[in-house]
Amino acid sequence: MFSASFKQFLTFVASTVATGQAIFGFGYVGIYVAITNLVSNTGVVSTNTYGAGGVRAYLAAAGYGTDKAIFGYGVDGVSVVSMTNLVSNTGVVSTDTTGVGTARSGLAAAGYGTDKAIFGYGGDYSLTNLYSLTNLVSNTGVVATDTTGVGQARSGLAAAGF
Amino acid sequence: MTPMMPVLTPEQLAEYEIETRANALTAHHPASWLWSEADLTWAAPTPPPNDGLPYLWDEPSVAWVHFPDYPY
Repeated sequence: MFSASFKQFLTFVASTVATGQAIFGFGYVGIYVAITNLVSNTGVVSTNTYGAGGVRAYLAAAGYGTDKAIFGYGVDGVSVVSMTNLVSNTGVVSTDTTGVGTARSGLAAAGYGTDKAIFGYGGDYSLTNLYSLTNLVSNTGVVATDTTGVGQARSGLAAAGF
Repeated sequence: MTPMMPVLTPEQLAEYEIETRANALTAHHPASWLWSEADLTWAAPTPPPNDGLPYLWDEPSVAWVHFPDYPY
């Protein structure tokens, strides 16, 4: 649909408007927490920020759009969830958004294309069921329904765009 | 429970159960979605197509739509 030169232009736009920052979020410290730490474009990690969303651990996160991120899924202390939290281009984490797709933990996420992301794999709370299914994330941070999995179902993995 | 999962005390579990319901109930969701007390979540008024392909909820049309650029 688009010429090669136009695709190159789109990639250039995406790379230049990105903030160059990163964010760590959520976790377990003896209790489940919603702590986040911003990372500057020089790699300096900021002190704790306490989030507005629910507490979770064993979730995943990825960048999407050109300058935003999304946390999703994980364990909230009682069960696995499909809840997501969007991160603005200033690093502000939104309150919880109702999830779509199979609730699970120990999954991974990565950005793909120029402005989208994907959550994939993971397991249920007891790891009785492992999944290979994936959930795409649009360039506005909306999560799609489950896509049938490919490959070995597993949890505790990692993912990265390249 | 995964090997990494912490063992919660009954008090912690009770507290998390209260928080879980409250967080789910107050979570952002499309206006047309309905609360399911059984599942403790908001759910679309119609289920998505069950064909293993990705769909996004489109609130203006109150329907599931194809994911952009996905090769259906």
